[in-house]
Amino acid sequence: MRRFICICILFFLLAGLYAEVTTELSLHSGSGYQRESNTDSLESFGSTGGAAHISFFSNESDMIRPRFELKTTIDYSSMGLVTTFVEVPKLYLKTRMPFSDGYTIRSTSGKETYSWGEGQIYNAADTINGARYASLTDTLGRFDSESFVQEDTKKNQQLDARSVKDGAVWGTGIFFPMGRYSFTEFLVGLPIDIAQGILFSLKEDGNGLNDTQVKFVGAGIDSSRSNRLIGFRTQFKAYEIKTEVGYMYRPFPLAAQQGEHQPFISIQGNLLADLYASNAFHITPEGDFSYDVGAGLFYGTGNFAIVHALDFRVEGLYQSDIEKFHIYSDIGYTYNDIMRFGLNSEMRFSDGYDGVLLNTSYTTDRNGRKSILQLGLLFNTETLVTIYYTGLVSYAF
Amino acid sequence: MRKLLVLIVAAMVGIAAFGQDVDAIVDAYSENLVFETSRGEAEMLVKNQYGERTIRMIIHTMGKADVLVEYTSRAEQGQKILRSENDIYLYYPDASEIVRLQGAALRQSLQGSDVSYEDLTGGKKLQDTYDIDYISMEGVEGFDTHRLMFVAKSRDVPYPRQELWIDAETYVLRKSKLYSLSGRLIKEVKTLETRLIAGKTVATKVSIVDVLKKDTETVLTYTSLEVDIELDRNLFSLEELTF
Repeated sequence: MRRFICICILFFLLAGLYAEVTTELSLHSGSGYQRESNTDSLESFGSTGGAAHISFFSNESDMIRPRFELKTTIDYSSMGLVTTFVEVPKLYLKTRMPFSDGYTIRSTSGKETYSWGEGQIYNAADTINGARYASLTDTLGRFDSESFVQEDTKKNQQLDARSVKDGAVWGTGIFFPMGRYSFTEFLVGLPIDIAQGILFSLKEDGNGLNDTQVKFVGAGIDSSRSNRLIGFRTQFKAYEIKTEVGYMYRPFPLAAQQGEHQPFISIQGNLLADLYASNAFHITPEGDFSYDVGAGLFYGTGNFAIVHALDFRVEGLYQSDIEKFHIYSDIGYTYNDIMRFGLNSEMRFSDGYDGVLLNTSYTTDRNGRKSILQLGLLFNTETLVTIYYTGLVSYAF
Repeated sequence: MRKLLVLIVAAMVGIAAFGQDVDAIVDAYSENLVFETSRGEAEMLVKNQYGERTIRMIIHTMGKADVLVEYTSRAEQGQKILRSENDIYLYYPDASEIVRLQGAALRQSLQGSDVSYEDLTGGKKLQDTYDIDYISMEGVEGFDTHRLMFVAKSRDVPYPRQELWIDAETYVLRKSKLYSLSGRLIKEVKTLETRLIAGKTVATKVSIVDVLKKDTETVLTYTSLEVDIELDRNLFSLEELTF
């Protein structure tokens, strides 16, 4: 282990000398109360911690682009649990080779994030990350103090879909251009799960911190999904509509013992508002059939500027396998170029009403120094009422 | 009666001559803006009430329509913008995601500056998009300029009314004011420095002020600019955007 740490330190020193480096530091905190009416018990929860995310990369070459990222999150929860999560968000080598007529074929080998389909919180066509990104819905159940730190960080950034797609894939992607604005991308996820991160945890038992647990976390924090996949997508524009069609085969998608064929389609265009829709089918070799279908729209106002502007987003998703319908809405008021107030909600229906979460957020961005403060109220069918706050500050340099 | 006829004819000739002048001025101005190809390194200084920050970028262009911007400053490293004739695409390396901007999303600020993505749209001939009137000849900071008023023919433009002061000798933009449909002033643009490149006078340092915001200014400076160089057309593609 000591040798491994020495090698890592040496690697960072050498990489720092030869590569470009960006760093993002953040602090987060969250707490709240939860009341269960049938037991009439009141439970408090909370956690606080920080994260460091460092990226090494080189853009010197027109033919080769390497990238390595390391992220460490440390958290102390009110349950007396100290958790440290070390992960490698990205580790890849992109190479491209001349093909014809100036076009190049590109391959990406290693661990990389892939964003297929359309949607911010829901994306039915995202057969890689799943139809629902880490979102408000995660809190529709009881808060889990142990996983609060990881979920907390994601929830704090839930308005930004770019940050919540966390399902990076170990494997190889081939990018095949079919013109300047259309392409086909093939993707093969490795047939074995490789640990996405290492979770260390320490429990406080009154005599200090002990009971160390170290576990490798495969396929991200959400270990129910597998990296094993093979598929492709083709993106093109048809009558000003961005269109994406594709197919994915997942041998063991959700710990089930059979594979799934997943053809999908998504479209995006503009008709007064920005509109998008996605649809994926899930077909087993035995012929069992289910589907995810989702759609959304975004509209914003403003005097050709960013100040005193209102924006509105609504998204819906239906998942036929679990017979659940999700609705997400967000209304934002941008006061000036650094402050935005938001009110968002997520509702879930199955046979009847399932749960609703109301969340207010206050976001600032002062020249790269971002802060987000959220207050939320959650109700679900177990008449569980939760009130919570979360806060996050980050600085990239 | 004869005098009246002479006056009418003279007025018509005058209008025709002015019309030609306006077209010629706008053509010369438009011509000045465009190179067959270019590669520039630029810095965007964003000032607001909370301080300043500098965003560095490399800008490639081909003709009027194709633009590829790649940020090189640390906090934005790897983010790219691709503009084609009809679309703007963004690429975020963190999520490896291509975002196509349309409609309301175009009004978002470009990296918190006084420039919106909408300002990057265009590429069409100005005379096709605007009715243009000649106002007067005016001096702007020691330069003789043609003051022109542009009024949009349709609503699908970022600024329905624009007032431009174009240098009478070099046809470079000296100043402009951009208005909403109701006539409210939205932005002011001033050229701070020019350079003669390949026989054209190019604005290499420009100040943009969004007057709807408080205490803000964005200054875009080209630190280097090469023009009419050999560039592959496929540089302006989704493949390059995502590399």
